[in-house]
Amino acid sequence: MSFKMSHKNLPHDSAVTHVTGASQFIDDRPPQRGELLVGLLYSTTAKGILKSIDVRPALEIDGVVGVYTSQDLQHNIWGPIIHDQPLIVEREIGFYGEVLAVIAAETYEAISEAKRRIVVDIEELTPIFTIDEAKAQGQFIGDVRTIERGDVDGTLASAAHRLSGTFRCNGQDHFYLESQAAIVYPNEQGQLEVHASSQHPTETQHLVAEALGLGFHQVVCIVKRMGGAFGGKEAQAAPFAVYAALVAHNTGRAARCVITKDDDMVMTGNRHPFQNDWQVSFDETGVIQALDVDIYSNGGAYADLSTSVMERAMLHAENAYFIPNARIRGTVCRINIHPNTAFRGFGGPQGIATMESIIEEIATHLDLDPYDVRRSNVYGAQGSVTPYGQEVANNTLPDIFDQLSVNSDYKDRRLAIEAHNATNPTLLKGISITPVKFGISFTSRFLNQGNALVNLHTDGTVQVATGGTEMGQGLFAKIRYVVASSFGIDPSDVMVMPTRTDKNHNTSPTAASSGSDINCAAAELACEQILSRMKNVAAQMFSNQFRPLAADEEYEVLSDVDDSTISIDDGIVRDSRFPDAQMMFKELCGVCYMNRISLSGYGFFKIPGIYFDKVVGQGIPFLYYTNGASCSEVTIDRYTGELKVLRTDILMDLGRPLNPGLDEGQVCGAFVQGMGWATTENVYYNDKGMQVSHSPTTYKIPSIQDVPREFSIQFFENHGNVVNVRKSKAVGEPPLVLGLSVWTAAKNALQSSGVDTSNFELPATNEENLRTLEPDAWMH
Amino acid sequence: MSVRNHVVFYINGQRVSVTDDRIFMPLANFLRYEAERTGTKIVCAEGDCGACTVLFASPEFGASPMTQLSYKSCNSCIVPVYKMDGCSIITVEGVQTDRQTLDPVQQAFVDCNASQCGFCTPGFIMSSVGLYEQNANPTAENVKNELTGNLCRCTGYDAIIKAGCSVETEGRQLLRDRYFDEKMHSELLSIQSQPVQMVFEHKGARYDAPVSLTEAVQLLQAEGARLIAGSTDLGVQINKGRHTEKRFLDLRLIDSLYRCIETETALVIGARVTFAELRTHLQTHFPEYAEYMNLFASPQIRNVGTMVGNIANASPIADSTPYLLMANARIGVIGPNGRREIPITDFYLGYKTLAMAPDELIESVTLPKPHPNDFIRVFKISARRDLDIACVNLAASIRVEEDVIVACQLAFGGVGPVIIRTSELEDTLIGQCLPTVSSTELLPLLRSLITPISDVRGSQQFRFVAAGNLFRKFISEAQVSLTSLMVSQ
Repeated sequence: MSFKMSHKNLPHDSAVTHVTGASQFIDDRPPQRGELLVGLLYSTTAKGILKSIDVRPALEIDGVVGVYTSQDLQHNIWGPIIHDQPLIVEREIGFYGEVLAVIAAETYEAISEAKRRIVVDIEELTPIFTIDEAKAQGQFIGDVRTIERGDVDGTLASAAHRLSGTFRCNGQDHFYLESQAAIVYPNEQGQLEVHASSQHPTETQHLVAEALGLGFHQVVCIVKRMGGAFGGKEAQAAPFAVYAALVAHNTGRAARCVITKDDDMVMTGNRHPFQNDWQVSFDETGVIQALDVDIYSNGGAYADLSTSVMERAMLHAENAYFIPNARIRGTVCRINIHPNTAFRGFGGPQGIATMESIIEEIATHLDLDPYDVRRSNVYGAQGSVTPYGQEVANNTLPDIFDQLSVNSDYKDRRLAIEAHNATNPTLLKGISITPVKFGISFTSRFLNQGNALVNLHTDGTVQVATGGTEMGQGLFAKIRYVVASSFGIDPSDVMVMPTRTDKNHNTSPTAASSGSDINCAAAELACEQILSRMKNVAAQMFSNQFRPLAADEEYEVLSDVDDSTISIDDGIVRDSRFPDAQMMFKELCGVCYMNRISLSGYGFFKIPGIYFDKVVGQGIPFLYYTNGASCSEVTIDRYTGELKVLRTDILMDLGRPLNPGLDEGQVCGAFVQGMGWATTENVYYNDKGMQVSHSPTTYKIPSIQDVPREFSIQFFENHGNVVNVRKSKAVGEPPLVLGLSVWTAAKNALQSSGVDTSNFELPATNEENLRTLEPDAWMH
Repeated sequence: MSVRNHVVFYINGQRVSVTDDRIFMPLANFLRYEAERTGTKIVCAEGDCGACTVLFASPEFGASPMTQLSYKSCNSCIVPVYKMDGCSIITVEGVQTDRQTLDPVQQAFVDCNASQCGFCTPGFIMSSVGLYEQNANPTAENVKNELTGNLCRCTGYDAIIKAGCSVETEGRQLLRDRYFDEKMHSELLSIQSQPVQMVFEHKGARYDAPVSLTEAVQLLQAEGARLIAGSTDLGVQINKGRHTEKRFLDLRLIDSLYRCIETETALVIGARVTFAELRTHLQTHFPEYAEYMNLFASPQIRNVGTMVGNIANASPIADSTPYLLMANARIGVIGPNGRREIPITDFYLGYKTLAMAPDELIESVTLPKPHPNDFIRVFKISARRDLDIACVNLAASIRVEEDVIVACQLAFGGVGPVIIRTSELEDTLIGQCLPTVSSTELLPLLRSLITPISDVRGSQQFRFVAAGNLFRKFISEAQVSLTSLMVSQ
């Protein structure tokens, strides 16, 4: 099985087992003897009071081993930030899909029968389903936050050009292919071994322990891999592990909780829908003078990560543009649907979409090319300090704009499109360039830490473990590369181990695009610890010409040894003082072991120099920004509203990419996912508050036919990023935002027919496109 | 008369015989939980994501033992185990040439970074391997068409398309050669070519596969079981708990139902003809319909699902039905009192209600060939162009003589409880001069004939507007086409 070990462009760590079907996911684990299946009875009422629940009829069913309710948990109320959500409903029901009871059974048939037989008495209350209703009734989560700079009201009042409006965008289901899943094995002394499909093993460990009244030391959470996550398994994976743990803890039998795609989509939350009221003023060239934006998100029934998502939306509300006078206010609305949660971009896309929509409105108002409006407002063209007070350093945005507009032949194509639209009776065309400036670091400072354990064996091979989880993004290949290149050995001699909380504890979720930044850096530190000891010994060995030591002699790490002449490449140790001598790396490993010198390293890394004061809305929340831009051209059928993406050109600044092959995959995948959010993915609820677009039949992520017909992804040359591991930049989330270029191109196309697009919503579904083209038809 | 009571198939060359009620399991569940082949994934359990894709092949009726098998893809999540009787199945575990060597298709996926999280990957591998069974040198377009039924949430597909186009085929052995085994073929062939009636009974569950139509009709009368053709819809109903009764009457062993016969005036399509086979028969006389078939579901579904199943399923948003109404197709049914034909325009009485008796079954559908001068268009509006169910669709035909409309048929789907012909609109158009027809003026009439509702696929207003726009688009295209015809003459 050939692994093309071209070092820097390592294939995905699981590439071979993925294509052979040998990669093990949670539900692929062979069942243990006596293992139980876990089923979840959930509410079909969006808001109500659970007056009683009688599980006894279910217990009579053959194959049902237990049914558990909130009474069976030691601690029920949880939340990744604000503790406001029951794991199992006690009294108040907040959403359709909320868990009422946990069923342990030997077959799925018995679970289905148990769900039918459990008797619940629910008093239905009037739910809140819209942001407007929540605003009217004052139903909010957390505090209203503000970021403000300059004299917004004064500038708006005296402006020559002023526009206002409301921007609405819908949610997005993660649609990871592997639905939420966990298996828990009960071990000795009350210990639980939790295998979860989770981006956050530490939180899963903690939540399982707290819910069951165990010490953290009694629970180990292990994550081998996830079949996709995209944020959906950051906070919301943990409860499913709790349900399995509850069964395992109470029955002493292994318990498997693997839910169906339909249940997953009904029960778990999505990307937040937003509804943002804005006012903007600008001069006759389109240069923005003031922006006042009032951001409202649909948080769902419980807080989850919503306050943090709102924070990132606010920190990205100006996207790539300098705004001298800005006021950005953020409010999370409490609404009776599943709690909305992290999703790749984490509020950033919704903040940025608002700004990009505003830019389009400015351009329309002044009859300018939206590209020119963007170019003249970009950081660097005007100021370089964000509304929250961070300097945009090492700013590549103006160059990215210039380079992409040339590479994509933007100006000429725009002229050609104008000519096309003037004559073609059926197809409208549009073209647009949108940028992204995405802040890298968790905005909660404490999360910006990570640790790595590197164990070097006496045969010269390495096992490395970090708190970072593999969900397809290629983190393990990057860690493998960093560790192999640190030691100077072949990547095939490095194995990245499953993420386990007994090896790496107090870890942060693999999220915020930070997985490589934090975990590669921690692994590198661990390697350096080992290397410094080994090089010290090596320098002594070269100096004494490898003479055998006497029985009473032993190598020790000595402070007065200069090891700067030692180098290791391709598994060979050399000393520049003795060009003719060399030793094998694994030989040195053996020597270190025999001389009782540790071959383990524990690296601890924290991102330096960042903070953000949420209350005053000022600080330096980000270590750096990942930048890029995308140019998309679309057609819209005037009769059907059908949208097609003809061509997309992406230019991305990833510093010096850690793995260009995998990074290109991240850019492509994120773009298409963002395009899905902006076009066909329409989360739809019925009047009961149930997400009825709960399967691929009704929820349409992009298919292979929807990829832009012409698609180019290029990296912007940037060797000036010195703040991050190996001068690389984080890649996970930023390119998702570039999918917006498809939406703005659609808006552009619709505008060309002379209609008012100021209320054009996201996503640009057929229906939304047609509604914008023929607003009168919707008046009937 | 001998009767069989178990099913036999091969997984990656290994013989499997199922004698208990696991014959009712979805194949994907059987593979994962009974046959320890967990490479096949289940995501949606409704044939809409392709993660469960496997290849299957069975010898055709009348084939010789030496005839090679032709492997096709299917969604194993909605195919019951009994449907695999007499088939050879290849799963992702069977693709590797040996333990040390990847198949070149797999190697291309590794080299092009075509998998990320890996959950969809086995399905993509199987669809791609299936493609290479038919086509040694596929274009990007071929790759995209064959992989339309596979969803990936990570890669954005670009790397998958590149992988699909860069397989090193020199020296690569096809599965049909790699898994050729005379003994296996003989056994599979005997199941198909000397069919023996199959009856399976277990704790109130019953499965029948008769070998003649007469027996099928008798069984239908006696047992009242659910009829099975491709099971692509029923499999979904079962997985989602909407169909629980295990009483099935399977038509798979009835040779005559596999025929697709072209007469001078029509195409007669047997009840077991799959969409994939049908498409090859449509090319000559029904090019618009053949083209439209590309938008129907996915390759995996088209390889298993039948048009008659689509007709009997009676969905108001069925993809294939508007064309049949437009073309005045006739449904051939057979029952205890013999055969009769029902015009499809009289076939749908109400939502999922058919104009046939419970003891009748559909034997065939007769699709008349269009007049050479008919101008035909088939439109579909859906949230996503491919692998999606229609929100609104229209099949339309118009014919003019010296600019005057002499014939017109319009069939709309998604605008009411059944797919409808808008006869009043057609009658209004006939006799009018096409170049001067104002489709906009006719919109109120069309609006009065349809009764769309709001649902997950679109609002009522959208459906009203979309139906009107499809009509306008059709008239506009007909007018353009007519004009250009006049110019060229």
